[in-house]
Amino acid sequence: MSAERRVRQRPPTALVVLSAIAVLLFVLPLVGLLSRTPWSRLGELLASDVVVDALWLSFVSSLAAAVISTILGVPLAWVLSRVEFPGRSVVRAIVTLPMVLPPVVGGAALLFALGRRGLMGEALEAAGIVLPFSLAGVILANVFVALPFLVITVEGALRSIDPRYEQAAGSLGASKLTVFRRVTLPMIRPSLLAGMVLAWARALGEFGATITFAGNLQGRTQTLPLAVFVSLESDRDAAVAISLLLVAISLIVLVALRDRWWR
Amino acid sequence: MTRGSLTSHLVVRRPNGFVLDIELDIAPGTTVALLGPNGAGKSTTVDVLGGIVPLDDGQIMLDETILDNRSTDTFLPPENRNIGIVFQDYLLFDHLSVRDNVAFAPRVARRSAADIESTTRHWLDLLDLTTLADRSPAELSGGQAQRVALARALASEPKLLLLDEPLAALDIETRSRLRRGLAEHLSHFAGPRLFITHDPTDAFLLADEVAILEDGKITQRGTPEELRLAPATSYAAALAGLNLLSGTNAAGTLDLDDYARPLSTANTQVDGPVLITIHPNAIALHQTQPDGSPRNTWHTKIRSLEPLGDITRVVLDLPLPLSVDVTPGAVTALALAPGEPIWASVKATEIHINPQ
Repeated sequence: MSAERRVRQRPPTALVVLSAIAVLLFVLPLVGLLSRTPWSRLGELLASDVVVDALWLSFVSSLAAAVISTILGVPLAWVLSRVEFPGRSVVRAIVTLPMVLPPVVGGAALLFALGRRGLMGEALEAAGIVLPFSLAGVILANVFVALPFLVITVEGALRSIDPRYEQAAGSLGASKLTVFRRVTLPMIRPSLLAGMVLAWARALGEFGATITFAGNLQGRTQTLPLAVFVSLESDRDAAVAISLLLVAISLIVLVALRDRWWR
Repeated sequence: MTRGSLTSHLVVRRPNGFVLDIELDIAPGTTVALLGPNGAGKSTTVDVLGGIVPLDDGQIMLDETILDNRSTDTFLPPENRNIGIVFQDYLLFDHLSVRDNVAFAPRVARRSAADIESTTRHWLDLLDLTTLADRSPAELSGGQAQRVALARALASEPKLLLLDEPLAALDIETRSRLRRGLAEHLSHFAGPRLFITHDPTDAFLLADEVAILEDGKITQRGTPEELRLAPATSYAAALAGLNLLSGTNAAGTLDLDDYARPLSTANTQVDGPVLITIHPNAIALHQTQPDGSPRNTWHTKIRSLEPLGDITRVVLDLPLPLSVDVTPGAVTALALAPGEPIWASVKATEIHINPQ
């Protein structure tokens, strides 16, 4: 008998089996992707104009969408959590609608509202703003689908902090806006960063709303997911290579940020 | 109405039928304890003074400025009231160091960098926080956190200092140790001081005057001495019955200043001059000599009996004229009556002392 007695607590078998199936569900497609990867041609495929253009567009549009979602979403989350007004639950439902709506429908709705022949089309055109088939259109479509993730995350965090900290700051002479900047925001920092990453990730993967509203023009509106879709028809190897690139970017960012930001 | 004083008549009507209706005037340099049980209206008082809840009637005037008056439609928001609040659980900002917590008010007031620096250093120094300045609030003990909360409030240069149960978050040992320090620190503030508490010991030891709050009304106000001599309600009587003695502790033996009979306490940490508190519930009465420590058992006579609702207050004769609370049932069972002989005893652990 060993001097040290080790007691291992066995987790319930049913939970382990079901968890394993869930993990398999994620791992299998990855394995499929890796098994089809044309490793020898990978460098050449990824260096093609299509991929480089799409990578740049995805980079710019997803980051811009994350930043715009933060600038608009944090105040909205604050209002939804702190201000009582009639119709608040309706506003909250509308804000979260893009999370359940098929993105294609969102794209079509954007087109009807802001497209050239849409509700605001003429006014926008008179102002010299053309959204469809432009980078601005891509970013707008991305914000449309990404914003709800930020609002939900931040509103949850705002609701969970003790309001008396804000009262304490008020008693020290801080105006409501100063309290928000100096106390509220620092207190919800982890959730805010998590919300930003979620919004960015959602924008990076956005496909349906983008292709419907902004189109699929290489070098102008064709982001990585759109490039995958197009390549599946023409060059399957290229599609696999771009997919692998997306997986790699996402994994790197999630792994790098996870431990630092949400514990 | 003197310059710098608080003059207020607070009326708040809550939807559940609770009504707070009190007049609270405090002169500069005076500490008033608002003492009352849970639900008496203490938090409502804090909320209306702090500007979280508006008055339904009456007025709050602080240093000749009206903070709240419904009839003239005056309502200053919390940030414009100049009331420094020390909250029960301190509510220090965890994302800021001790120094930045203290610097919070001067910073949001947009004072000059040199001014912020010197004000912050002044209060850190005065409250013995200089060596802790770079720590995070999460790394502080309860007593240190309390000093930071006080320094943070005082650095806002308030016109009223409001302490909302500042000792309630501490364990009993720390509590009695800090009570003395707090009394000293309060003297750094020259304006009116309002101390909200449910603990009669805190109120009697820290305040110049005690206002007793019961069910939304102040039922009595006076110095601790006045309250003890002539309690106006049974609640006040129960509080005032708290036996407060002074003496000297030497390794657990208490020599009393006013009475010849020594007592023994379980507290051997604090030597020298002490204030001694014995709760009237902690003293037991017996018809025959009880077993146990002979030190804290003595034979005496009953001086008086006073029914106070569901308890009866028994006052003992010399050698120790202490108040004892018993149930009316015990009065019958022990055949208690003025002039009758009786044995009294109290456990050494029930004799609490505070350094004087």
